Amino acid sequence: MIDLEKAFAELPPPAPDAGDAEAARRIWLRARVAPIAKERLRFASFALLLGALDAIAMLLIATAVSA
Amino acid sequence: MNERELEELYCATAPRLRRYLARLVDDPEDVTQETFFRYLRAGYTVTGEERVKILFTIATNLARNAWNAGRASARQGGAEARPTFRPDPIDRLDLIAALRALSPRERALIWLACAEGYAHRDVARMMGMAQASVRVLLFRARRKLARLMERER
Repeated sequence: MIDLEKAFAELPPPAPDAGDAEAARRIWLRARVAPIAKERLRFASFALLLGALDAIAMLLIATAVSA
Repeated sequence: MNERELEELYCATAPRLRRYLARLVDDPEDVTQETFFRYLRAGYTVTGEERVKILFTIATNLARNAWNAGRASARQGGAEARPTFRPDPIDRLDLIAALRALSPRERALIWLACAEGYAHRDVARMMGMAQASVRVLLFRARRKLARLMERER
């Protein structure tokens, strides 16, 4: 019968990668930037909504005046 | 957590996560980085081995999403649902070949329990399963893996 514990124990240890420190820095930066980007996107969406509502209101007023 | 702490945690843990994810997904490096990103965003305040357990839990969830996405695209396009399994030239060939024949869930269970040495309680938490289910599924997966390895000899 195969000894699974032994088979797994014989696996070589996980190998570190030379780029790990750089990858960690990139992740840190991404995590710092993500909330700012999200906030700006929310602000841009709100501004777009206001613009759209303004245009609709102008259109309704123009229609009412011309009628 | 500050930048330095993240770098230390990443350098210490990413190789283990990559080795685990290499058994489960096509792009272990991407999923490893996404795991750490989500860990950071969630703002965990735990320390020590508990951090590693959370990282394995996040990685398992991401891998599960990849399996489900693979299954869905296979249903639509008729492609192979099982994610391709990157061969690792430094690992033992018979173990790796046998693992490849298991389902992704069985691979994850076996790896967390046998390669990482986590207790059933921890594996259950990482896999989002009941501890009793882990015990049964792990028993079956181990028996299946042993049979496959016997056959390859």
